[in-house]
Amino acid sequence: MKRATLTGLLFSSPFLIGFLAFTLYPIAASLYYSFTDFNMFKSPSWVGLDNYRWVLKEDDVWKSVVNTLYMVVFATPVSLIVGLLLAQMLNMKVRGQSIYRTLYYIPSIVPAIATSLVWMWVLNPKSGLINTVLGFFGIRGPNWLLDPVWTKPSLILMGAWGAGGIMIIFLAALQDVPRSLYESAEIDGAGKIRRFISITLPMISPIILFQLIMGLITYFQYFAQAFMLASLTNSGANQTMAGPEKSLLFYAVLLYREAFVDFRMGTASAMAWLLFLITSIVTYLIFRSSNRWVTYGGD
Amino acid sequence: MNSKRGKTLSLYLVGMMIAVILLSACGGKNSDSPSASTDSGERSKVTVWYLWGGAEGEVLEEIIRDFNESQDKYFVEGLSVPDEQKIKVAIAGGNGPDLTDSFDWVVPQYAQQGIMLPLDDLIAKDGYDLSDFIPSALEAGKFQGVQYALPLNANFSIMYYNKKLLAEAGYSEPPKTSTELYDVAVKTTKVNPDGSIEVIGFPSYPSEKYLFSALAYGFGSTYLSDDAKELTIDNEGTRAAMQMIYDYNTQFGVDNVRQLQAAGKWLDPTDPFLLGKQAIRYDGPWLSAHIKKMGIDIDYGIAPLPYLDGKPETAGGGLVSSSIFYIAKTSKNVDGAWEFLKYLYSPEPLAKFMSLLGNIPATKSAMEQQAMKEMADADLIIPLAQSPNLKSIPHFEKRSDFDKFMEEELELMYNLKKTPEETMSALTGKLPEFLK
Amino acid sequence: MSSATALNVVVSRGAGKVIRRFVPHIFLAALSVVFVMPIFWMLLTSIKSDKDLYANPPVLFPNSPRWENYVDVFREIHFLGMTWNTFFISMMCVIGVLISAPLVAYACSLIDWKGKKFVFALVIGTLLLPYQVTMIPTYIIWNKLGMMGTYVPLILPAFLSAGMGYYIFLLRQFFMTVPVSLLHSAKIDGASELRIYLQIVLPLSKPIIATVGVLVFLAVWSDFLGPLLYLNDERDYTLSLGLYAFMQTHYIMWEKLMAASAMFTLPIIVLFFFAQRQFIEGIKLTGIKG
Repeated sequence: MKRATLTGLLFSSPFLIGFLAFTLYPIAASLYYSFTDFNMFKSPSWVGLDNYRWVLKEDDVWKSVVNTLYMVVFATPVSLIVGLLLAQMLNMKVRGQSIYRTLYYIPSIVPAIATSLVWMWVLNPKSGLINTVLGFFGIRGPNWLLDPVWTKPSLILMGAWGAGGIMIIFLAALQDVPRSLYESAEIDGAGKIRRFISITLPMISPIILFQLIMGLITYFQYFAQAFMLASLTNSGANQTMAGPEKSLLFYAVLLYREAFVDFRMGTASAMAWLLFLITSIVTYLIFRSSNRWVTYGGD
Repeated sequence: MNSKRGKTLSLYLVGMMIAVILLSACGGKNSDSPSASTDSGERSKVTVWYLWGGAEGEVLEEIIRDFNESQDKYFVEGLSVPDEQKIKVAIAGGNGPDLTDSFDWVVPQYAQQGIMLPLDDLIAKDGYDLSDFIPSALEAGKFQGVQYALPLNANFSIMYYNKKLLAEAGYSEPPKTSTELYDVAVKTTKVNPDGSIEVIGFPSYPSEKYLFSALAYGFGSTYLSDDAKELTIDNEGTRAAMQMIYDYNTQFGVDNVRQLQAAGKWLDPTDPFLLGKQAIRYDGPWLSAHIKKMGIDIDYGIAPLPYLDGKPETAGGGLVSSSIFYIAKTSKNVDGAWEFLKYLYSPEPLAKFMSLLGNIPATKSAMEQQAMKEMADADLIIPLAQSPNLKSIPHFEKRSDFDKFMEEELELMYNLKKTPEETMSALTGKLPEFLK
Repeated sequence: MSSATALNVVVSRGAGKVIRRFVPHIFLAALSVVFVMPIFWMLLTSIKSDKDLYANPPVLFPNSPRWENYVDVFREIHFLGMTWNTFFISMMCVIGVLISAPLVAYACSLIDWKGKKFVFALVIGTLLLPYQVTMIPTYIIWNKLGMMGTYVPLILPAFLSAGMGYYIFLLRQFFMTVPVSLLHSAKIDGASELRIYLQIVLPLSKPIIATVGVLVFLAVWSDFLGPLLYLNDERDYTLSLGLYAFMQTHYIMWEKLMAASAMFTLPIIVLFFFAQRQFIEGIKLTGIKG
């Protein structure tokens, strides 16, 4: 073996070992499990496509798909828009920029469980912050986390609160846009909004694309906050983890439930592979469409 | 030179591997090794994980201490693990406890998942006397003829009522029939100007889900035939229960009821009944024990569940369910677990445990112990346990799916998304599938 | 234009300028209040007694602050123990990643060998894989190895850069910017790859390495699913899992839950203030070169 090849392999060896053990083998194993009836105690028994058929027919699965798509379709743009707006505002050379930046950013690094708890209390129907403030205006706020209609919007609110991370990224991207472009546009008589649409957006469109894909992937796999919020309205031995009228039953939560509550590892694996398939397809489609709306800057 | 560089690199990597192994090993220092250590001369360890917490957990710990002192072969270590999920997963993974508790409705599911160790051999080997158990309770621990668990208690809901609130609304007696129940509930409910509920008259706290079966069975309903082959849920009792909840939620607003439900924790000082904000409550005998333990000053009474109007012969009805103890399939100390189980279920310890918890024991001999007479409100509660109209739900394979579907459909009704009629059709349409 | 009108124009333009300068401030300030409010609310709640909590009409500030809530929480969860557990696991993972990730990043960037592109493709591939696909078999492996209830499943993968594709990517991108001339002259002097790696590239990469360290620490600190799956004994719990368990037994006792949340959030905020630059740099890097 050439020396360079040996060296390259040696340097990569920890990663490659990890890849074999924690990526390649599990991928193969889970694919295998998805065709079996497996509950961790007994050996897997082959059932062919039964698990896939079950997944595609089961009510709970479809409910979880709808819930997940809700988040993907609504929460992703909300986070992006909030992040972008905040970045745009911060970008106007204001004094104290770093203080504001910090204040907006910190909520995004608060661990999920603390965020969930704080927001559960903020959204408390009787004594929570939001309903109290609404009460000052004479509005009777909804039962945020108990009303099936409002549970997902509550999650979107939580997501928007954590848009600080996205804001930082957009801020950096905005700062990379050459001032000269704005200046010449201003001279040509373009207003603020026109400049934003025709200059800013195209210039940062690669970042938007990247964040869009990351956001979609995150929400397709949405788990922790939903899991925690659902256990608020759920106690005791009958663990459905679904929230009021199953409004919080997300795909990843159902998958977890299938695997670790009901011990149906076969169907859970089938669900995992379908998720993989769908996220790949969606990612690919977005990449394809990006040719039309993403402009990669020069140098 | 080639070999020299290759050697340094390899050494580097080997060193790293060793470091990893060492570090990971000491990272596991916190956890107990799952094996039942039988050190020479020392006792063999038995781990018991239980769902109870706080004061109730303390009682079990006391009994564990008594057991440890009474013999020197086994050492039982108790751990409060309120998250049943964790217990299940740990047992499945082979590093769970030897003994743990749960509720009777999980028996079909757990038995099928292979989490519970069948007890028949142990029972036969010791000639353990099962006749002491209340038969229906014992059945609750059986599945397909195999005894998987032993019932700890035989609990059912009784009606608690706030004497003062009832008196204020003009009632000197608690309601006896379904119609009276609804009247009292409506008249004792106090609503704030903005529509929120100040005092809730209906037993919908802690939740309609918690209430439903007690309400229905109190009205004489039965969900299944004794052999679990036929669905009998469509009867007057169930319909009356459904209609009553639906009407109350319509009249006072689901949102308002939910708000009240979210404002207090069950059996906590914030519990509406304990704050004098709930007129009628369906709950188990542990409520009396709680009130006594926490020293809450509230003028309450106990009465049998209201029966369906016009059917006084069904009075004293109710649904009996049990907590159970079972030995984990992956237990590493089955003998120890069994010994402790037998001790726990012997008359004195069981009576002590049940009396402090405020539960009705599942064995007749425990029921007769002095300790039971000291249970809070024993004089009122124990007679109610003798009623012939108390029933239990038989076990069947798809019990969990059955329960789940029923709960989901009923939830839609509680939230006024479906009428009782529609809900009943949905139930009678789908539930028979789970009985096959 | 008369002088009066001219003056008007000048004044109004000046005034307009002042207002225009204030407007962004007002906006930003108002919004920052909105963002900070929940945390502020959390802190206020954490010292309320339950009378203040459920007061009707609701009170913003507690009438009689109850600092004992914090003591109560300390007593009921092993907060110190869990903080140490979380810290230990996070630090170990940081060490693991900082040892293994730069190695493979180097191999994918500055070593001229046949597998260079292939290995990098593997790295990117792991990024696109949903964790759910590998979660179950990984769980079963650890189970068979008897590692349930230990920290091994949470730490060992870091030493093999498993699940760390992001960070490998960041490092690799950075390494690509190392001046080739430096490498060439070192090679001419007869230095081995290892030597170049240890004595040239790594020292040059201190900023990115620090950033990766901070990011890994933050990610592992906040991790929930890992501890949820693998830890059983409460004494081993990390903060995320501990707070979740606390919530399950204390749901509705908001004053205690808020006190616990405050204590769990504090270390993160402290870390942020110490490592601000790395945080921001890291976020920027993860966001941009997509």
